[in-house]
Amino acid sequence: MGVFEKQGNVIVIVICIGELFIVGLLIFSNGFLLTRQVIEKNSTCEDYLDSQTEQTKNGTECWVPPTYKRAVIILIDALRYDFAAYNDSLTEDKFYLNKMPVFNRLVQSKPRQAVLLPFIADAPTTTMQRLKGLTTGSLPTFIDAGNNFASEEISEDNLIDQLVKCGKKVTIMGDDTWDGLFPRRFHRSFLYPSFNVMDLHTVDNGIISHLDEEMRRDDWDVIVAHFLGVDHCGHRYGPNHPEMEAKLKQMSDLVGNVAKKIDDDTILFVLGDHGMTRTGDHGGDSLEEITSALFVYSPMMNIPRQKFSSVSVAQVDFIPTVSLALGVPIPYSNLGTVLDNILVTVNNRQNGGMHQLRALVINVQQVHRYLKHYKELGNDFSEDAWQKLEVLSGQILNGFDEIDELLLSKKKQICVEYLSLAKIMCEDIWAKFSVLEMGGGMLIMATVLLLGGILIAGHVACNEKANIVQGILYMTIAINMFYVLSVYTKISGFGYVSSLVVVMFIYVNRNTFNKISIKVFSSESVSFVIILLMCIGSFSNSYVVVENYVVSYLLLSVVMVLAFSSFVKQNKSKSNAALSGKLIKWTSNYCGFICVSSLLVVSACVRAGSWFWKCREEQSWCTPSEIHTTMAGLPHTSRNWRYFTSLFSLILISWLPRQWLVMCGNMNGSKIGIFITKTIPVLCSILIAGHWALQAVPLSPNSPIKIYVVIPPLVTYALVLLSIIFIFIAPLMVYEVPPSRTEISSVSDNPYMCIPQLYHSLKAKYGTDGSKKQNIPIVYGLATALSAPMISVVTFVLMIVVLLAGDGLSPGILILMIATATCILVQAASAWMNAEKLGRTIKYVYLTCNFLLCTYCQNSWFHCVIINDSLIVSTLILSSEFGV
Amino acid sequence: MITPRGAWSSVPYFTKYISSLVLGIGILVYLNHSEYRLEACLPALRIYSLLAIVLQVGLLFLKKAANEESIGISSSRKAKNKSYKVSDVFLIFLLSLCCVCGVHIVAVLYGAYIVENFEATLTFSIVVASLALVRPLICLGPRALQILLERLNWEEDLDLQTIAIFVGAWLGALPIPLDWDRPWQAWPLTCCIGAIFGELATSGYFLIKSFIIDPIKWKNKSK
Repeated sequence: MGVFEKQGNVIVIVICIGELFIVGLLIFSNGFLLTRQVIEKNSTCEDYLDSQTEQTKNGTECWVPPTYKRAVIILIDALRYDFAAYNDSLTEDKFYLNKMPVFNRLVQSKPRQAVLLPFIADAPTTTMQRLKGLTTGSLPTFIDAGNNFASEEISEDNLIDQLVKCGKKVTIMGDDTWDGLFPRRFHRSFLYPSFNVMDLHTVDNGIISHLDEEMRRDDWDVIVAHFLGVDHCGHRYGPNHPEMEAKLKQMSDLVGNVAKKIDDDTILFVLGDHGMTRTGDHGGDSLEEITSALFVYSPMMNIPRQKFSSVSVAQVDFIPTVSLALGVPIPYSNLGTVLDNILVTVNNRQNGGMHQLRALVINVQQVHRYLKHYKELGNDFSEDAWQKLEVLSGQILNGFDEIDELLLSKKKQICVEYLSLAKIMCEDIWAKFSVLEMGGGMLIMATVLLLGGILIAGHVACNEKANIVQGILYMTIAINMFYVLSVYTKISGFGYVSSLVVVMFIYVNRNTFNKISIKVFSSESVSFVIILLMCIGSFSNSYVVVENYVVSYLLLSVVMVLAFSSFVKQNKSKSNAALSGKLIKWTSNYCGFICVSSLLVVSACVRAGSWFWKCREEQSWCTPSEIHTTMAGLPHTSRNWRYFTSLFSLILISWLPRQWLVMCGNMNGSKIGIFITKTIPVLCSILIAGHWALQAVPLSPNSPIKIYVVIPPLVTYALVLLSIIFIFIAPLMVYEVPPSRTEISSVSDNPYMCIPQLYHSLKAKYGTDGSKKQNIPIVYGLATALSAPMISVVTFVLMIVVLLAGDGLSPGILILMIATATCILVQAASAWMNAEKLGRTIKYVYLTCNFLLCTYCQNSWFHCVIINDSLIVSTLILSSEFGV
Repeated sequence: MITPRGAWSSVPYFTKYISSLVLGIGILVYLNHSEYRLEACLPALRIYSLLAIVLQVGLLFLKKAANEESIGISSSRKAKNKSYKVSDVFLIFLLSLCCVCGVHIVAVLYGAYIVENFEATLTFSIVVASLALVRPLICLGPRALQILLERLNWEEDLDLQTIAIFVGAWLGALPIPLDWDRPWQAWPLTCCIGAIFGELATSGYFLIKSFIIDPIKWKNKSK
């Protein structure tokens, strides 16, 4: 009873502290991870069919009549504004200045038809984020809380979808990320791999070779050409390099050619998605990185005078401009302002003002609808700004009809004011931290950590224990109630109050914890150093970028220290005084052998795991391996190879844990758990293999097999879930041998068998001289009774992980599994070798090791967190079993 | 009679520390002078490690000569027993090669490239192996590694040196990821410099210790 009570106390404390920590984390993330809810609604043509459009008697158009028929969008990656702008008074010659004279020539010679503007991107200035911004018109946040994390596909309403829906044919050329973002949308595509930063020309030359031909055809409405050369040149050489000059000149000539060739009713956009720093990098929010260039040209355009002198344009403004210029609806969650001057052409010069105003009003309506919807979903804007917006939108929407020329410019001004205010308001909530809440959350976490540390280090007297546990329980409940209350009443500063409560709790009970003793062992200090290094490293972005390398480096270090320190200690205790100099047979020792061989395997696996890493966007030197492409994307020659290696590792993943359990004697008998562990992984493997095979088969979109592709994964999920439930209900995986019956069952007819049988029965009779010995139960798998269900659950979860990770990564998961298992073995062996000294205390080295292992796996793949959490638990059980 | 003998036999100790300090500072100055260009640094580092080994062998002979001279003919048989046979020399040579390979493999496991930068990784392993492992091999004979692992004594110069060099090389990897864009951040310079720093630190420590803190103990021990 006493033991149970003690364990209950520990569980209560662990749960309470964990819960308090989560509260702190929630408050922190509320302030830090400003999430934006993705609204998956699309704009449609019927949304704003006002009387004006019907008067134009054109049934096919949307929202506003199209100003231009076709558009050519040339996206030059990392085109900084000063690359494109022409500077007459240039004193020093740089390789990147004044190398694109085409923009200046066109702007000077045709000031009504061409305009070049600074184009301000939002941070983060990475290509992927910018493409999302450029096609949806929304502002970036740290997490776009959409419903699919796995795929890159843009689920929000975007320009490409709107174009396709309105029957426009879009041709894409260049960077192949577009295909990942918008699969199956393009009428024609000429895509080239973008990952090799060293390669400046493949993508660009590919586009140039097809662009001319494509423009001569007449079955396109929009051409998007995404050039990567400038960006790659920046990454490789930096901006100030002869290669950059050549590249910019090439781009300049190309833009000149395209401008020459486009028809009157075609509009040309040349834009950069972001700039670059002096060293050619991008990603941050410095002025050099966010300022790119936007160039607009159309022979028909008729920009009113004295406009666009030095104004800069926000990147989100591009979307409404293109949409309305082509007469398609603006994407639902756009926040940009239409560049109304571009919508004035030679044809609609007379009522150009009206046309501009209509576009602006439509734009305001769209933004207002989006914001309203966003607010309805339970998100908050600041009250003042919202009131102001309501007033402005009221002014705009009322009295649209009775308008005269004098009011026109005033009206336009109100519209622009509304849109800029809306954008500022959204930037406030989406792109700014709330330092107050972050601080509160961190304070709670720090105080809870302190409390936990005191609970671990302090010795609480037995009679006080119940009080402390009760106190912590009540405190947790109180803080949670506060938290819920503060969420409803929207009072900030909750974090400070609750951390004060925790500190007060520690202060009130200070007498209970007075005997704090912290022992620092020599090998423990290594773990503190490593944790300290990781802590310091997380403040430096250089280390965060290469976190996967750092973590595997530290993990190996800890494992090596663990292994070698156990040898040193053991040997010291053996030969304390004299230096014998004799060869110690460390490998003949069983534990030592396990330790050394596991160390080798762990190191090899951790190193080999690096082949499966995904490249982070910041790691510009990293070239992603073929492993991350799906099997369908591979060439036919390597498909078989891929399939069979994956299959082999899948078999090993299900076979190795099973073999371990067989070795431990847990697979005897016919209990439900044992039966499940025997059959389910095999079944799942077959299903997964079938799923991979089905996926690789090239299918026509409406073939009947397409429906069946999803069946194996669903069955796998169901099976795994069911078997985990069964294991939870009946976890015991031991086999008790039924008491042997010593009676001679029957004398065999076979004369050769008769004698041995008689001998055995006699021997058995001789051995049992009393009935007592028969009562000793013989049980298989009792030693690993605790870890066996854990291992079988881990096997099931591994099946799910393999399924989620896809065919390419299954060897990686095998390596990860082996690395984790051997790492646990090293720990167990070292615990065994140090067992006499340490008793049953948990060493911080093991915790550090497990923590690093966890982080390592987490770094390798997002999915693998799950296995590790369960593996950590099994580690502790396993090492305690070794200790016993 | 006692005092000169003690003084004479303690001379190799000082020369060892002083010469390794001079060598270490010399290579650091050279690296700095060559502005950390890899094509100049890598051969220099290899020559440095060769010199360190040669120095160790030379000191060994010097010490043996000193011993023979001081102890005299009476204990020459004992000294003969201590001197190495040809097979031992061969074994030490072989083990040294194994050490270089081992350090190379460990460096690769810790994240060095396998094929690219092969020369750099090899240079690193030559430097670390010769400083940390080959010198104990020369001093203690073919079983040096077992001895080191068995007695891990913070007071012995060889043990501390080996550990300090490994720790220095380990710490040397830390500045590599920083985005300072300095020439010395290139692999393997930081790690080699870290190892040399470890060497310098232990040499300095023992030099100071043998001179200032307790010279008597050293003299007694050298008997």
